Amino acid sequence: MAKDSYQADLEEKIASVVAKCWNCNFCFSVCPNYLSTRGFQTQGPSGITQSLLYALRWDRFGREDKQTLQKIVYSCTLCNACVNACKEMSSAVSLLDAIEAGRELMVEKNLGPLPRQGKCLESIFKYGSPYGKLPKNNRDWCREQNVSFLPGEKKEVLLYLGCTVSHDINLRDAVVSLMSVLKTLKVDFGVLKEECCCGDPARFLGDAALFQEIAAKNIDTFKNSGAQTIVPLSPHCYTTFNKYYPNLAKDFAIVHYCEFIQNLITDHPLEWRTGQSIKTTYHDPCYLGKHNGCYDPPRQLLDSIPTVQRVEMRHSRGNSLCCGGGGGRMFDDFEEERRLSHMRIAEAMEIGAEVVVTACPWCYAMLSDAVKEMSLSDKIAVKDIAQVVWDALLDI
Amino acid sequence: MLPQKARQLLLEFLDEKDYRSSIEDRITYSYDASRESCIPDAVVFPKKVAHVSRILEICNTYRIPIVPRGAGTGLTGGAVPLSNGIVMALKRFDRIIEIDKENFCAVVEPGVITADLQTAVENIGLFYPPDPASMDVSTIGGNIAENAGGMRAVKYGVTKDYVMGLEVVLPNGETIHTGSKCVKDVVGYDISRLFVGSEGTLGVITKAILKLVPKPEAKQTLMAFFPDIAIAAKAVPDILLKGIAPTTIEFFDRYCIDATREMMGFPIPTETLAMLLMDVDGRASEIPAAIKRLHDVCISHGALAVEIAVDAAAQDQLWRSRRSLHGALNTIRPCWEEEDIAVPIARIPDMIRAFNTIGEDHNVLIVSFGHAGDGNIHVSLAAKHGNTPSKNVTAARHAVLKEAVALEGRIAAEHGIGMVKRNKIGWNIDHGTLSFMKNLKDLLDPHHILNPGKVL
Repeated sequence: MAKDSYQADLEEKIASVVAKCWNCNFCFSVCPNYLSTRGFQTQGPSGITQSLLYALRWDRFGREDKQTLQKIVYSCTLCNACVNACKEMSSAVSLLDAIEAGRELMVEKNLGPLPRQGKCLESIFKYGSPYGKLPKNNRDWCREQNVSFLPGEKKEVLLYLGCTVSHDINLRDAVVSLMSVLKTLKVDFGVLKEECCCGDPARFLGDAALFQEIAAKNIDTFKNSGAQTIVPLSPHCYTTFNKYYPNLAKDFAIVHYCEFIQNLITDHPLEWRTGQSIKTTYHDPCYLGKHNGCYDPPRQLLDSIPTVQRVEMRHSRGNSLCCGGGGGRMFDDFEEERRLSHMRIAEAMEIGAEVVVTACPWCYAMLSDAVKEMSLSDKIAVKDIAQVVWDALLDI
Repeated sequence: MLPQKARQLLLEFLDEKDYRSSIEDRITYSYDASRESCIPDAVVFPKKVAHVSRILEICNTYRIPIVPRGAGTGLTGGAVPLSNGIVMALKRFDRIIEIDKENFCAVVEPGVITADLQTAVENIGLFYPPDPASMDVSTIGGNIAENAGGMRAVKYGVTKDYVMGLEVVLPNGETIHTGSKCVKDVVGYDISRLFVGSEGTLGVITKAILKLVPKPEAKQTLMAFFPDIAIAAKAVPDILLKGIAPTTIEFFDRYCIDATREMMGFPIPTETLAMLLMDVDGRASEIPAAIKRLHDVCISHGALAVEIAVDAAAQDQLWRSRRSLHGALNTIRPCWEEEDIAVPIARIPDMIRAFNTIGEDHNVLIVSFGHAGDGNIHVSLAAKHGNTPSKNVTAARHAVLKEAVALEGRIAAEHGIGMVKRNKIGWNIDHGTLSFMKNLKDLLDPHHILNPGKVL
């Protein structure tokens, strides 16, 4: 059967990226997947791309043992560490481009994603969310917070909640805290009455068509919302809107909530409680840090709080470890010698942190689960940065 | 294909997960950073010395080629199989067994990542100086096998200067121990040095005793800009003659300066065509005087300007620009070929002049940077124009090596011979010496199972 031109373009893309990589392996030192597994070459960045290249050369797509290649290509957390490392130390090749093209190609050839990830795509297609259908009263909790709904009411800022927050009740406190902080800062904001997934899981799992459909739908929704600024909760939604929605960033200011609060506080300092300081460490979400270079605003925000004594983990900023949920790993199980989320909590414990703060719903969920799995709930807590800010504000 | 019996014997003691034979696994252990490749029949991950010994015994019995491998960062194909066989990855040997603070040494397994050892010893006030560019991922075993160098070699030397003793498994499976923790040790032949730089052709290193030194109290970075690279190169012997002993003396030619200009964070005088980047370390109280002397020597040699990094962040920024050179060069040309040569330091200006001639003769762009303080030059070559035939680049590489030899230099400084320069080893080593080396290889590895086709 003749290859269609779309598949040929993807193959060309993979080959051209891999041709620039000279296999120095420098990217392995920063790869969370490699660090948390038995450390085979196929579990590191250029090993994944070489596996893809040879699959193309030898037409290994569609063979009986396709599971091996599937597992290799979908094991990547897409954290971007390899891209940054290559830029800094080697040939400035974006291996992620090849891995993402490889996933698209696998979807095109009906070889990807992994079965449970496929269910998540199905759910996005059917219900606009990777987690299934939301109940009709799913915005009641927002109503209880007296939050306005768009597009009915006109508000300057659209707080984009995202699918994880809408579904996971454990994240509710973090979002309510954020809403309270925004109100304290007199932000004119509202949320969408009905939200559709940003499409990031579709994009990174390789379903480009689904992603484009969702992007078009969301762009219309945003344009009709009447807002001028979009403040997403998840760094994944933030990155998707900023980088992968055609021209959205020209029509709207798109700011992650963490940076949004920090900018406001810089202009309008808040009054904080005083008291005993708590040893706190910040976990950099990959899509905020390694993808967007946003390392300082969350730290500045924490440093402005008198009761926070901030300490850094062994892996931090550009060298930070993924929570283990990135790249579609939230939706399936992967071989790990040590769970990345457990490694992260162990690092926080190592420096005596009492609280791990993050700014991503997935990181929050992964790290919270890790604390429970490691039976450390009496020693360390996971908090969203909005919770820390809200808890530290002086009662007015 | 491995003989069925050999495979069966290997699986008697290896964890099934650590015997890899999927095509993806075999492909990803078929290459290193040299662009050479050959797909092995299997990849094995031993955990114990007894495993290594047994694997070698089996390979020796069934005449299976076996290639020991660290992190696969080599640039000359040292870890690439030549003809199928087995790749033996030493990744599971990743323990720092002991850091003996009182005796200034560490006992480590070969799979320990060099940077991890450095961090561990620096945490207790000690220092392991060898710093190959790959140190964040390369392993001590690979560094010893390749006798890796690095930027600090000008003051501290290379890996061989830090190997006090080794545990080595020979091709017949026998385990031997060389050297000791003693600084003075003349008991028997010094055979540690035989294995250092042997590129995994004589034995498999399973343990190393490494010398450590006290961690320098402080460090300062200085950058000197010159109107000509030959002028910059001439300053180098004078710096060393003055007894300043910088930790590093790195030079950038004009292409490297252009490629990293924005990253450096310092204004660079417009007439600059060469730059020296230098570090001085030691006691904090002694550094200002050393920096002042370095400054004066550079100015006396015609430096256009000298800048000193004011703080750790500025120092870090400068060294990041040095480390990012490879990536930055890709913004000028996408495809480079690399050479690694050494010349006596006083011949660096002659070597650099030769690059211009060779480049012109072959219509090839030649960019050079590297460790001016120890005469080690890294040369990157690329076609000047899209229609330049690739054979021109090959011919230019050949000419660069020939010129290095003519200047009493070496065709390999810190990247090894591997399979890439094997046919040129005779340019540096005379027939009698080569025969002696071959006899030694025959004696230790009569069936040539261990990393065959490398070095000799």
